[in-house]
Amino acid sequence: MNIGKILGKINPTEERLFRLLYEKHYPQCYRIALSIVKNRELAQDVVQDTFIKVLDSLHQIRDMEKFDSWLAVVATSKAIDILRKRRNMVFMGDTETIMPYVSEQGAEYKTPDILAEDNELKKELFEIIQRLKPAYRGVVYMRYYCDMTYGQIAQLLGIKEGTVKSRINRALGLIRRKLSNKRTYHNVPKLVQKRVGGQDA
Amino acid sequence: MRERESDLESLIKQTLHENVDRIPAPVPSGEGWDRLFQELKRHRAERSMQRWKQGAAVAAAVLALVVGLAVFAVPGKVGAAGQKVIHIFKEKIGESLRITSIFNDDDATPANPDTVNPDGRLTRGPRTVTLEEAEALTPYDLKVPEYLPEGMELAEVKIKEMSGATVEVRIIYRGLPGELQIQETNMVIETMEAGNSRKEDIHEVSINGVAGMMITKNNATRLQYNKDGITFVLMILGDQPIDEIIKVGESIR
Repeated sequence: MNIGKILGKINPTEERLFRLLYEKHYPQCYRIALSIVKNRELAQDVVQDTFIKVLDSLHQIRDMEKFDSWLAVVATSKAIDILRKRRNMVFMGDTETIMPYVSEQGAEYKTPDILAEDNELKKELFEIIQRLKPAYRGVVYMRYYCDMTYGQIAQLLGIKEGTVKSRINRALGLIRRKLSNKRTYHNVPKLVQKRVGGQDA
Repeated sequence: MRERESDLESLIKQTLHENVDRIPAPVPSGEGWDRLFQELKRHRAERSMQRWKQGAAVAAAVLALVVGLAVFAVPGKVGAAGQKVIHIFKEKIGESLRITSIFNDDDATPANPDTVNPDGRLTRGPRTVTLEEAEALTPYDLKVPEYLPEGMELAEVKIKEMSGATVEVRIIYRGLPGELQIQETNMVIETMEAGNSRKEDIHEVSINGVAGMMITKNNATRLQYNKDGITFVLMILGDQPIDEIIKVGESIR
C-alpha cells in the first residue's frame, strides 16, 4: 500500500469543487502571471503553483467572495518567486510583448484629443511597468493591482514594511521619471488628473 | 506634489486593471487539469508526511524529556519500568532484539550451524534443551542457583557441545527485573572480557571463598569465577543491586 496515495487522497467532492474553481479562475490567474513573467511557459508554471497553493489551502479561506483577490495575491507572489528563482536565466526571444489596451471607457465624456492622450498615457505607463525590474514590478502589482497594504506585502514577501515602502517609492520615482522623459507629466490633461486623483498611497 | 503622486498611483491602478484583465487567456485544458491534480495530490501527500514527521519528532523529543526527567527524579522505578518494556519486547520479538551490553560477545547465536573442527571432531552449534536434558548431556555436575532475584523464572536452557568433551550450558532466567544468565563450561577460562570498561567498573569479589571478577556497565553486571574446573559466568541485565549477582553466585553450590 502506497502511503503517499493515502496521504494525498482528495475526495470526489473536493475534486469537483477544485476543478470548478480551476476552470473559472484559470484565465484571471493566467493573465496576472503572464503580465508579470512575460513568458507563456513560465506563466503556465505560475498558474500551476498558484492553484496548488490556493486549492491546498482552500479550507483556510472563510469568505469565498474574496477568492478572486486571494488568487490574485497568490498568483502575483508565485510569479515574483519564479522570476526571482530564474533571474539568472536568459530567455532567448520568448519574452511576451503584452499589447497595452486602448481604453474607450468614458469616451462619450471626452473630446477625441483628450481620449487619445489619455490612452496614450496609459499605454506608455503599462509599457514602463512591464519593463520595471521584477522586484519593483512585483510590489507595484501587489499594491496597485491586488490592492494590498504595505504590511500585507511585507508579510507575503518576508521583508520589512519599510523595504516595501521604499521599493514602491523607488518604482513610482522610476515610473514618473520615465514618463516625464516621454512626455511632460505636468501636462497630463486636467480631466485625467481629476478623474484619477485623490487617492493617497 | 502629493496630489500628483496620488494621481500617478490611481493611474497605475487603472492601467493595470484595464490591461491585465484584457490579456487573452487560453481555455483551461483537461490535460492541464489532470497534471495539476496529480501535482496537488503529490504536494498534499508530501505535506502530510512532513507534518507527520514533525509530529513524531516533537513527540519523541517530549518523550525523551519526560524520560530524562523521570530518570533524574526516580531512577529506580524508571529503570524497572524500562526493563518491563524490554522484557515485553523480548517476549514478543525474541532473539531479534539485541541489547547493547557487555553480554553481546557471549550471546549464543542460535543460527550457528554445527561445524567440523580441523581435528575432525564435531562442534555442535547451540541448541535449546530442557534443564534435565542439559544435566544429562554435561560431563560435569551442572549446578543451578538456589537463590534468584524476585520475579525471575527459568526461561531457556541452551547447550553447546564443543570439541572434545567441552560443553557449555547457558541457563537463562527472565522476569520483570530483567534477565539473568548463568553460563557454565568445563573449559577453564582465566581471562575475562572487559571490553572498553573503565577501571572503576571492574571489581574483585569473593564467591564462597573463590576469587572472581565483576564488571558493571550499561545497566548490566557480569560476574566470572572458576570453581572445581568449571568456569561460571553470571550475567544480570537490568536494574539490580550489585549484591544480587553475588547472592546468586553464592547460592550455586
